[in-house]
Amino acid sequence: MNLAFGRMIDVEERSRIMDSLERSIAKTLSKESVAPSAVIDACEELARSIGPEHIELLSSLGIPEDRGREYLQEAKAMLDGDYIRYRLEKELGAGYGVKNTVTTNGIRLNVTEKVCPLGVLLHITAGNQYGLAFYSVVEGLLTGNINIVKLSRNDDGLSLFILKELVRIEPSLSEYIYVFDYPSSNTEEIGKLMNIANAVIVWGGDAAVRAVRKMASPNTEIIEWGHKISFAYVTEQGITEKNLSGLAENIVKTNQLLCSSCQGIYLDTESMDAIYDFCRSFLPILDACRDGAGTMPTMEIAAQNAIQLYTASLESAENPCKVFRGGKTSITAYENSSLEVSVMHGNCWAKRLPTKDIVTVLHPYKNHLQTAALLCSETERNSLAGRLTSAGINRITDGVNMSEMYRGGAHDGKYPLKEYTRIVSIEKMV
Amino acid sequence: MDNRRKLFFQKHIYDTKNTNQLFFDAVKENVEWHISHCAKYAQLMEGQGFRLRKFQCYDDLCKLPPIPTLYLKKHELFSLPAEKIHMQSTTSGTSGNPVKVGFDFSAMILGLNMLRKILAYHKLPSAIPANCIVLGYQPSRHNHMGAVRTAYAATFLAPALHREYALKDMGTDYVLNEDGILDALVSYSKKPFPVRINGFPAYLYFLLQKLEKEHIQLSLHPKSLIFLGGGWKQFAAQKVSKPELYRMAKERLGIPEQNFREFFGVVEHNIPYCDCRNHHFHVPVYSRVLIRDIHTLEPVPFGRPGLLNLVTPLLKSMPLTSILTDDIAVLHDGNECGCEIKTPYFEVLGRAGLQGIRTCAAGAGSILEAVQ
Repeated sequence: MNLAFGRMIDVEERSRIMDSLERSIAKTLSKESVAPSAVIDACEELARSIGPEHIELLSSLGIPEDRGREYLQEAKAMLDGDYIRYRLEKELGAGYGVKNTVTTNGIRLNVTEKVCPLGVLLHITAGNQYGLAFYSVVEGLLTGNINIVKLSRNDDGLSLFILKELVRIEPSLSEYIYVFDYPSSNTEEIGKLMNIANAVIVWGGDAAVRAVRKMASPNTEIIEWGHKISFAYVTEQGITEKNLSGLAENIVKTNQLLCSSCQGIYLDTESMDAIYDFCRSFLPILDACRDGAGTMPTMEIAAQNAIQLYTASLESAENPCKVFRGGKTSITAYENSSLEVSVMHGNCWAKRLPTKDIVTVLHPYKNHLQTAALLCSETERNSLAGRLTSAGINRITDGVNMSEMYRGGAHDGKYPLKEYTRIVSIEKMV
Repeated sequence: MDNRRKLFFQKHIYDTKNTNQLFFDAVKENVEWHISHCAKYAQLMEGQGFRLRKFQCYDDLCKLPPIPTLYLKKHELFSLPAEKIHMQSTTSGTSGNPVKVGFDFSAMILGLNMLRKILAYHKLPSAIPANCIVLGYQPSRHNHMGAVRTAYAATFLAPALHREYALKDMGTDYVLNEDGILDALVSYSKKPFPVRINGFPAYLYFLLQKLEKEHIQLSLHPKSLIFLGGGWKQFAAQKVSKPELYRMAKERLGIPEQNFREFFGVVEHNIPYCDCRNHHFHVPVYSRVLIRDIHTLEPVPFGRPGLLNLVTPLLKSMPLTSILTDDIAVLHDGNECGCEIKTPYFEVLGRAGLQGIRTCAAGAGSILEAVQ
């Protein structure tokens, strides 16, 4: 599925468009870039048009009804005009798009500064989030950029559908959006797109990031929204029923599938016995939470979990561990302290990590770190948060809120809109 | 003669009933060998509480802790020194590191004999020369995948006049040879010889779709055959049923359903399963199949889906006696099939894992391995 100039195009037309893409883009770049207000108006109108009838559309794309409803609600919130204006101001500063006169300190320079689009963004999206390509493009549009999307192989067609709607509402956006479905193996065409782009925005795992880094020329910037990993850090004083229930809720509700989901629990201890005691007390809480909430894993997932837990028990001779099995959940207590992805779906790990070792153990994972749920006493909180931050963690929460978003929150420690813009300084004529 | 040889030289390949004791004896002998020749395996068995002296009769087969294919992706297990291991085969490695499986010399001989018998039983070899389409990789020095070898070997079941590959070897890489396959099919259809098509079901489906799209309808020689191997799991996304594929093949190539043969194999297990006329995989004397509960891994009775656990005493080179695959399957009583083979048969329903599930934390898995 391909889209250019607001309409769906076939493969032949795509190749014609590719041939003249540089010229078309230069033509658009020569004009004044699209105003954020036009994009905001279009988003608002789009949000207004979202209704219950769209749930059906989503289910035709294979999205379950409850997930579809949630998605639409999310979309409405993300496209809300006030929300977008708030983001623009928070991420890009007040008066975004307005020239700002700066008188430089001590030197005889009189300049105006302006936040400007990077120019052309190539979005290489992953298929792990419904409508991801759409949101990525909206961020690109808000910052005035031309957006080229390389759809992921398993894209469900949702993004394309909404982008088409957006252009229908605001036709002036049509020259700012191109969507191509070249497979990742078509390095020739993707290479051409990369050469045209000022920046490549890559979503996805290490393999995707590595492939993009290998292909991009030094003249193209790379903005990476890679996969991240999150965990909980628990001190003795943080072990309360409320804290543990909150953590269990995140584990069960997200099935540990999100970058922000808790994969495992680090305990501030050097003793394996303390870890085993923790497993014994946390397991019933986790199990009870599983009984009460969250979707049960499918047969395929349950089978995979069983294989992974069994394999861990086989490996315990080399990588000592003890599996604590509940009814539908488990906790594997490891003797090592390395950060790893859990079996997921209610199967987490528990490991030792004394406070003094936090930075040493976690810093090697630097850019892969995201959220840490910090369960401790009020007096411990500041110093532990400091250590976790030094190790590379971008967000510190309590257990239950690990995966909760808030208005204008940073994405993996960064403001996306800032990433998609640059500051241009123009000296005034004397 | 040791029990393994006795088992692999059995005259009737589907007489499991009368070979249960022999099978158990061969397995026990095999496990004993591996425990004394592979320290890591001995340690694994010990860790799982397995005791040889408590492994006493056929019904105890399920007590032998299986080795998951997942484990083999991360660890090597050998019971013989490298110089005594011949012919290595590797898995595709689509979900993790490829697994290398090597044969001891006698396993190679026994395996070839077994293969000859299975092929003969299912009347696959033919003296009539045939043109071959391989819907897979062209064999090459840089590719040791078991599936490639099997597909290539299948072209020798009849004297091959010509072979055309869907993925052509370019020395270091492969290119898709779609036009070459179509041209070959059209030209083969005009020759007075059967055509033998073999490879992955998904590739056959794409080929038939292409023929449909281009309105090409061929009538291949009535003795033409289609061999499929590598599983139907890729079809999950396309939602194409076997009957639909049979219909398309009949319509586009003139090949009827009874000329379809399907193989099931796992590189780590080495016993090929060939389907019967009702397209069921019956268990031959060389192996036994257990299905294990998806939560507890305890064996389940006929008719209940679970993880496919394959047992064979073929190899002395590696302790792959009992393998836990990530296939989800169900085992049926042989009498339910209706064909002349009375041994139990299994049906592969799917595969354990995250297929189709959207996750970013799963993708993070590869991350951390790199750091460690």
